[in-house]
Formats: sequence, structure tokens, C-alpha cells
Amino acid sequence: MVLAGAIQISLEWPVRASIIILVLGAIGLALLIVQLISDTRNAASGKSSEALTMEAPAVKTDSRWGNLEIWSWIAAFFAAIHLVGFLVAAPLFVFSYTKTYGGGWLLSAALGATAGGFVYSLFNVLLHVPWPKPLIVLLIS
Amino acid sequence: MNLRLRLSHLGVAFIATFLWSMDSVDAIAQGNKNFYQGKTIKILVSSNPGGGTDAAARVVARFLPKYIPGNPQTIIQNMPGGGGTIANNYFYANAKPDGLWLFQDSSSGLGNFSRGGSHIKYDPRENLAVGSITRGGSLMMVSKAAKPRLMDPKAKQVVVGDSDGIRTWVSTLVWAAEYLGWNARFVYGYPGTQELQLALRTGEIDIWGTSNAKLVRDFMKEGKHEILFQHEEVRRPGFKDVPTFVEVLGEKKPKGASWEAYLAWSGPNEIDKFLVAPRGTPDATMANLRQAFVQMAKDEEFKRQATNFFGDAWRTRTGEKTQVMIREVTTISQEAQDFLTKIRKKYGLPTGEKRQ
Amino acid sequence: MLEAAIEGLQSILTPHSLAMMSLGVFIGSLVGFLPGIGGPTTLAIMLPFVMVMKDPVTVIALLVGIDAVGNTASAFPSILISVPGGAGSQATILDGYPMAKRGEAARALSASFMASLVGGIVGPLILLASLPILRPLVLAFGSPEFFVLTLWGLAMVGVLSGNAPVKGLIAGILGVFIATVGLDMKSGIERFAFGEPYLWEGISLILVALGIFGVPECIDLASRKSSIAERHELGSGFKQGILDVFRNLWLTVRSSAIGIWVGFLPGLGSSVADWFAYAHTIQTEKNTENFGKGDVRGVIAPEASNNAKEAGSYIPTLAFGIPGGTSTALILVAFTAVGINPGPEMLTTQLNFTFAIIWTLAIANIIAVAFCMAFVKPIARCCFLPFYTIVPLILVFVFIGAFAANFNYYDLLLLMVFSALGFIMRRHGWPRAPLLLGVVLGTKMELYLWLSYTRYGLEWLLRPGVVILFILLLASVLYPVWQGRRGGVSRVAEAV
Repeated sequence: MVLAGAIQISLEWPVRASIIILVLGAIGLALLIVQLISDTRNAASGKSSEALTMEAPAVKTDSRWGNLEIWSWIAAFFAAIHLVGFLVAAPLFVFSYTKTYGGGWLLSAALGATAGGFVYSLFNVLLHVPWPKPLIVLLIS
Repeated sequence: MNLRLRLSHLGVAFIATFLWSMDSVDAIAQGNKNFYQGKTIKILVSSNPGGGTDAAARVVARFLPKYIPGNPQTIIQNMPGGGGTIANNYFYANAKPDGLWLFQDSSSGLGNFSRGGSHIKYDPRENLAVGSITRGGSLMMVSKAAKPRLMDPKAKQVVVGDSDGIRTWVSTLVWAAEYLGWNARFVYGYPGTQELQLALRTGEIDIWGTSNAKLVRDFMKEGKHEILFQHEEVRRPGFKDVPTFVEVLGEKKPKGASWEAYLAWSGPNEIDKFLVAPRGTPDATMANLRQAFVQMAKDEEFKRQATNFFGDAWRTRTGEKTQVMIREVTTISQEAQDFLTKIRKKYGLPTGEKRQ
Repeated sequence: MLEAAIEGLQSILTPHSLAMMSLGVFIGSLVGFLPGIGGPTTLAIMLPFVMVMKDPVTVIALLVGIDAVGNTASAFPSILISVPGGAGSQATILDGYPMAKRGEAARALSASFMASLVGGIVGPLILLASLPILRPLVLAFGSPEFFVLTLWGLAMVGVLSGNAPVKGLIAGILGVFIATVGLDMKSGIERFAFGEPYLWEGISLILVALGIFGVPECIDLASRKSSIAERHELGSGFKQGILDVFRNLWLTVRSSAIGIWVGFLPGLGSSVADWFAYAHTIQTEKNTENFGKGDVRGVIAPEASNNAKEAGSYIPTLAFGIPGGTSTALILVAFTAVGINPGPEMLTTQLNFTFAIIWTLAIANIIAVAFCMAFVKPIARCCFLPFYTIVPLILVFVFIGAFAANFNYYDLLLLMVFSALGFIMRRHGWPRAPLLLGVVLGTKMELYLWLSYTRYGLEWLLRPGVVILFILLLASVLYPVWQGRRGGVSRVAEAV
């Protein structure tokens, strides 16, 4: 779908910009069809899909929720960065996660402080990053 | 009252006014000195660390505070992206006119503004210029082997190489092709200066323009290239025997919309790297900053560092002059704009129209 | 020449220079250790300090020291947590991380450092030997030759796809598409930027690497709710790793040579030297069925090459003042500030500085390896720590790494997108390495093809350099097939 969408968009460009998208996109779509056919055949005959040597075995999880849990934490961290800023979100995230899954108060606080300290030293002290205003500040003012 | 008395009264009045105004200026300066003492000026830079704009900012950041009353600290904040658009948008929306925010931009910020688009959310004409550093116009190098073909329409075309086809010096060659009949074609898409330098050396391209005098001298030493002309108002020191482009055009220099279009394309180069404060910065603060810039330009150590980075043809312009120039290069009539589009299309160059 | 060499060495061996070099090594190692934050960020941090220094040798010792060793310490996160420590340590993940999971972290780390040491010494040696031919060497490469080189790189997609070549090719194509995002120089068109200036400069490679490789492994760790190492023992791996390098010395030297030759190509070398070496290893070594599952050779080859490439990237810098990559670009700024003029003078009147650089590259590597070796055992124990201490810290560092490229929150959004993509690919067994290669090489290939055609028409196909490189390319692609037939081990049979 992505490939098809990309090809569609690139049709409006001059040739020198679009040719690589068109050529590779066409090849990519053809290959996808080949792969789809191959996978369907394998599924029908009960074979697993090709053994890989370049990849770790496909992730097996015991429960559906295993991945959803960590994804929720990551999404929450991402949201927190926008809401309260990186400087606050980083130590908060580390502290909360460690505490939730078994760390003691001291360990969680120490790790949170480490993360926060690092972010502050690197971005504020050394790089003078122009932080965007956190949403919470914008909402209050 | 006799005349003498009147004159002496006038004189006293004048002197008193003068002294009072000095006191005022002094008071403002004192006020400003107190203001900047212990403070830090943030200089936002529209490029990555290590780029030309960044280098200019760092040199300025090192020396400017010496001449600002109160000797503030300075810190550099890099905000690359979008050819300067991201930093420009940010500065326009967020910078406070309190004398502690400055912005180091380059001519691409002006070029992007002129080209327009919905993503342009700034107006560089509203910023207040502190000063600018121009590295000197480009010197157009041509390979000796290719030069004879330039004037011979029947020969294989001479290849001009560029990164994105919209560099300001490219305008000179386009106008030369159009009005002097030069036998040239344009190949662009090279990722950057390094690749172009290499391409000129290997003979992949025959003509290239750069303002880096040291680089040009290296090429001259190798003996395979010569300089066609320089893209300058007046001949650069060190290149006094190289004609300017206008001299080369001579009588064939066009007028009207054509020349206006040429100036619009080639103009921003004259401004090059410029430092601005946000709109609304108080006049007294601007006066201090501009004065500091002028004094900094005379500093021997600054001159040495600037020469290290920019070659020997760099020069500074005052804030007032820079302000005027910014306005000039961002204004173009529709007729000239149309001409520009047409001539770029003719030579296979990007039209510089609004992007998608 | 000999006098300049001795003068260069003497200037570096003073207590002050050695101290600055050690400081550089320490800073470079610390930064290399942190995922995502690479040499360029460090050098950018150092720039303001360096610009006020007066002594050129001090600048060389410090900055070249930092640059030389970033790739050594970046093996730590690649091996221990499967997060690329820098652009040059991506290939190391493929075999390094599986070794860590098996409890062989110490072996992987010591092998990587030993390989780095060899690479870091062979590199400068080759650089030294090439001094007389530097300029003609750099001048031999034009757009057509660069095109064939990028094609060679992309041909490795097949190698890196293991037994899923179709999926690998599709991943590679997707990588090329990702690389097309941004302003296209040759047409002035924004491609896939949807009017957002943020996307004009394209998507940074490190962002893709962090998302595709780093976060999915973190998710795996968090889902399993265990430590990195499935077995809690370091074993006697430390010595084993060192011996591994000597047992595979010829491979190590070959990989170093690849590193330096790829590293010297301006703009191309930094991110692909390790992949070239890795792919070459698979193509030329015997018994490669364990590659991707924890074969120590899969750690040795990329690590040797990515240290050697640093020396390579100085070739265009010394010959013409052309930076070989981002970190050399920053170093050039610093050099200019202290009056070292990069360019032809580096090979004539400033030859002593050139030698000081070469000596620093070698000596700094030795110091760095010694430094890293000392920390192998304590740091390898991180693999036994419970997941709730590791996971949040890794994620924070990954986000930091993503943010540090452009200081833009949009980068974090993209990180999330690539993390999701990497997760899905990993889950369904799609090879991820080809995608990265596609990102690195895709648009370069397009660009050089375009420039070659516009400039030369079809004549570029007949250039001697192009013909030679094509022959080498075909040889490298066909050799493993020929070897497979001779050795009786058929890759085709394996795939079925």
C-alpha cells in the first residue's frame, strides 16, 4: 500500500525526481506479489516461512498483552515529553517504570536522577538546546 | 540683548545640550552596561555545527561581547533544517526583543522567503540587522582545456557544475550564456562543495564558482585552471587583475526586467551571513549592538580569525546597510520574476517557483 | 619525509599531548558507549572550546583522539543491548547481540576491541603507505565510479538477506524510498515532504537505525521480563575473544583494508564500511550458517573495518581539504581556526601535522582499546541486570540519541514510526539490514547515476575505472556461488 501510494505521489514530479520511485516501486510491487504467493503456498502446505540466517527468531510472546504493555509505556513517555518537556519526562519515566516492575524506591530514584542529570548536562549545559515550550506551559499561559 | 550675548547664550545652551545629551547617552550606556552585565546572549544559528553560517556565528560570538557594554556571555544554539526555514520560523515566532536573542542567518533564508510557500512563517524584513559578514563574491574558475570552447558555439558545450542550480553565482553564467553567447550547459545535483571541488579537478565539470580564495589559489597553483571573472562590485584584493562580471558584460549588459531579475537572483550573496535581533528590540539596545559590531570588525584578533575562515576578501557591513539590503533583495517586480522563471527554464535550471 | 614523521611523533609524545589524547579518548569512548550519540555530536560540543585553543598539536591530539575511538566503544551498546552505538556499529549487532544473549558478551566485546585495535593500526599504516599516491587516488573517482561503488553496496542486499532474498530486496527498496524523502537537489522538488520544512533535509540514518534495531529489542526484553543474557555466566569469554581475532587474523586485516578503502570515499564511507566488511565475510568465509546467530567473525569483521575507516576518511581531507565525513568536517573547522590549512600543504609544508594525525590515530586506538578492555567484565555484567533497570534507561538514551541529531521533537515522532516498523519486521521475520543499506546508498546511487548520464551520456559505461569496478563487483557476487559449487555446500539447497 505504501509503495503504491508513493508511486502515485511521484507521478506528479518531473522525471528526474520520480524515475527511481517508479522503477523501484514497480519492482517492489512485483516482488511483493511473489512473496505473497510464496507465503500463501507455504501456509497452505503447512511449511513455516523461510528460515532466516540474518535475523533473530521472530519474536514470540506468551501473551498478546506483553508487547502492548511496553508500547503503552513508550507512548506515555513520548506524550510526557510533549506535555512536560524532556527534562521532566525522562527521570519521571525511568522512576515510574523501575518502581512499577520491581525496583525499590532508592534504586528507582537513583536511576531517575541519573537519566535526568544526563539529559540536563548534555542538552542544557553542553549543547544549549532551544527546548520547545512544553504543552502544559502553553495551556497554563 | 546684543549679538555677542545671544551667541554666547546660544553657545552655552548648545554646550549644555551637548553635555546633557552625552549624559543621556552615558546614562543609556550605563543603563545598558548594567543590563548586559552577567547576562547571556543566545545566538540562534540556522545551520549545523561546522557549516559556514555556524563558523561565522562562532567567530562573532567570540568577539562581539568584548565591545558590548557589560560584556555578556554568548551561547550558540544550532537549529538546522529546511535550508534555514525552521530556524527563521522559530526566531520569528519566539524570540523576545529584550536584547538577549540574536539570530545568525545566511542568504538562503532570504532566498527561501522570496520563493515563498505555506511553510514560510517569517518575514526577514521585520528583523533588525546588527551587521553582516560577506565572504567576498565568487570567483569563477574554468579549466584551461575547456575555455576555448566557451566562445565556439559549434564546439562541445562547456559544463558548469553546481549543487542545486540556484546558487547566486550561477546567475552570472546564465546571463553570460544569454547575452554574451557563451557555449555552456548546466549540470547540477552535486551534494556539496567537496564533490564539486573533486569534479572540477577530475574534469567532470569545467566551470565552478567559489568565494573561497584559498581554494582558488590552490587550483591556480596546480596550473590547470584560470579565473574567468569575479562576482563582485569591485575587484577583490589579491585578484586585482580579474575583471568583475559587470566589466565582462560591458556594453552588452541588459536593462529593465532582465537586469532586475539578475539582481534578485545574485543579490543575496552580497549579504551572505548576517546577524539580526528580533523586531521590537529597543533602539538603544540596537545602537549598542550595532556599535559593538562595528568595533569588533576592527579588532585585530577578529580579523585574523575571520581571514582564517573566510579568506582575505571578507568584509563587514553595518547593521543599517544590511537592513536596507535585506529589503532590496527580497523585493522583485512581477515582470522580473517572470523573466527569471523563463530564463531558468531555458537553461534547464530549477525555476525557483513555489515548491509543492 | 622521515624528518616530518619524527617531528610529528615527537610532538605527539609530549606529556601534554598525551594527556589531551587521553582526554579525547575518554570523551570519545564515553560518547561511543552511549547509543545514538556519535562522534559528530561530541565534536560539535567540543568546537567552542577548541576554537580558543592556540596550539595545533593540542587540537590534533584532542579531536583526532575523540574521532579515532568513537567506533571502538560503540560496540558496547551494539553488543549488549542491540542498540547501534553509532553509524559505524550497526552490523556488529547482528552477531554481537545474539552472543550476549548466550552469555558470551565478554567474548564478543573483547573480540571487538581486539579487532578494533588491529583495524586502528592497519588503517594508519595503509594511510601512511598511500601518502605518495593520495591525490591521484582521490582524483581517480568521478560520478560514474561512485555509481558503481554504490551499486556494489546495494548488491550486498542480497547477501544480507540470508535465505529471504525477496523480503530483503523489498526491504532494501523501502529503504531507498525512505532515503528519497527531502529536497531533491537535481530537480528542486520536495519528495514526500508534504510541505514540511522539517523533512527537507531528509530522514537521518541514525534515527532509522535506532528505531529499526534499538527499540524492537527493548520491547523484546520488556516483554520477556528477563535480563539480556538468558544464561547468567560470563564464562572465560574474555581471553577467548582475543584469541578469536588472532585465529582469524587474515579476515581481520582484510576487513581493515576494506574499511580504509571504503572509508576514503567522501560522503559514502562512514556508514557502510562495516556492512561491506560483514557482507564480504559471508561471501568469502567457510561455514557461515551461524552468521546472524552469534558467530564471532560477524563481530570481528565490522569492528576492524569501522576503526580502519577513520584513517580512510582522512585521505581526502589530507589530500584536498575535503572532509571524508561529518566528523572530519568538524575537525576541519577546528583546524582552520588554529591555522592548520587542510589541503595540498598537508602533504608538503605541513607534513609534520599530517604525521601527527597519523600517529594520533594509531596511539589513540591503543589507549582506547586498553581503556575499553579494562571495563569489559564489569560492563558485561549489565547483561545480568533485571529488565526494569535496563529497559527505561535504554529507551531514554535512544530518545536522547534521536533528539540530539537536530533538536527537533519531530525526530521523536519519526523514531516511534521506525520503531513500529522495526517491530513489525522483526515479528514477521523480515531482514532489517537491507533496509538500512537502502537508506544509506539508495539516493546516492540515484544521484551518481543521474550525474553520470547528464554529464557523459552513455559514454560513462566505457570509462576504465567503471569497467574495473564492474568486474570486481561481479567477482564478489559470483565468487561465493563458485565457492559454494566447489565446496559442495549449496546455498540453494540451504534455502529450500
